[in-house]
Amino acid sequence: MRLAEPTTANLYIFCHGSPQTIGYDPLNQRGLGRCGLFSSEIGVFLRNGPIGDKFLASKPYRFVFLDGCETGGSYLLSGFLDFSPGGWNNAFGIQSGDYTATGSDPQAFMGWKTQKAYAGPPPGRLFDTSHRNYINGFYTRWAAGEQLKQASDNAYSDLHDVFFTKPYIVGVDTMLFQ
Amino acid sequence: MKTLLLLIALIAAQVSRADTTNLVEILPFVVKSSQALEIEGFPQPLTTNNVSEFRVIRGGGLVLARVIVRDRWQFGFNAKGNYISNFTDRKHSISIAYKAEDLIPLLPPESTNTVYNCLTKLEAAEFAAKYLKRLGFDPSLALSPVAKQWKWDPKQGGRTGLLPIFMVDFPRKEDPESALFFVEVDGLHKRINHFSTM
Repeated sequence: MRLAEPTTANLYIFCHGSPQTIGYDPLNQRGLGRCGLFSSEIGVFLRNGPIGDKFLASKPYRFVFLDGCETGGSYLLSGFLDFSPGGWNNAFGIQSGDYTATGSDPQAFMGWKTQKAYAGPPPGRLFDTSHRNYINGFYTRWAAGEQLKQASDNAYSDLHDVFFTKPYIVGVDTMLFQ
Repeated sequence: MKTLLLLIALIAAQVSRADTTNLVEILPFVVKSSQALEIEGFPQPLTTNNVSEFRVIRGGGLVLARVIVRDRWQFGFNAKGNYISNFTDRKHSISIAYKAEDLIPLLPPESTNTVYNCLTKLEAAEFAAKYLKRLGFDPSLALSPVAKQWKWDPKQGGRTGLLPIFMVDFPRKEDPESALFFVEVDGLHKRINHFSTM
């Protein structure tokens, strides 16, 4: 599994998601894609996550964006599961701590706190253009030199879509694409 | 004949609205920004030979160019609006130079006999606003700036202290959680390490 390779430091996945799973669509249980992964499984596999009052990061990632529903926790579940020990940032060894000046390498995690309608139910199957434009705009801006949060906020602002929600960012939101 | 003239006019209008993605055409914008930022040691005159990286990035309806001069000074160019929308000094910005060897030398000296003249948070915010104006932006389009100062406080122990690096946010009026302008100020050397806007 390439997730654990030493050179793997950044990850973007466009997939089904939930506060604790990716790859498995909880709303479409009859579908074929039932093989999902739990954040706890990935945390154990990579040997990342909190142990008691300490945080183990054997395979710390630099940047992870899980582009799936509620991968940044959920507003509905906030207070119960919101970045609990099983949270996605922990699974990738990304701490929600303050900033780079602690001597560690900067890390950031992005996910959504809401469900993202990539496609509507059949027969409509309408692609969510705001989501597509956000992803395109965000990566374009970030790669062109804006800092992480600035690129995200600007991409969000470009949409002029009041129904679209911003992603949730954990870690160093001033990170550059490099 | 009228149709032909109209066609020519339409083509001319299209051409005049074309995105500026040619490096030679972008360099004058880079020069102007480097002068506004008063960058020490910046090559003069600036030629394409000084450019170590040039990329045009398209997506989300945007056309942005990234120009890096001498592996150090990075400029983001908005090719639709024809302006420099971000800048990073890759040698000094804390986003890149975040290691102990980069930051510990910036800490206030332990001896009180050494002069250490660093801006305050308020001065850093004013400093950022001054340079945004020099760059041609209008800080009054945003809410009052908020400056945060970085701290060196390694988990493994050792020296701690406030770093002379300030992050100055100019919040948007319509969305105060996001910044219309974002500026990183080096309050010790009195320079802009990074800025970005829309």
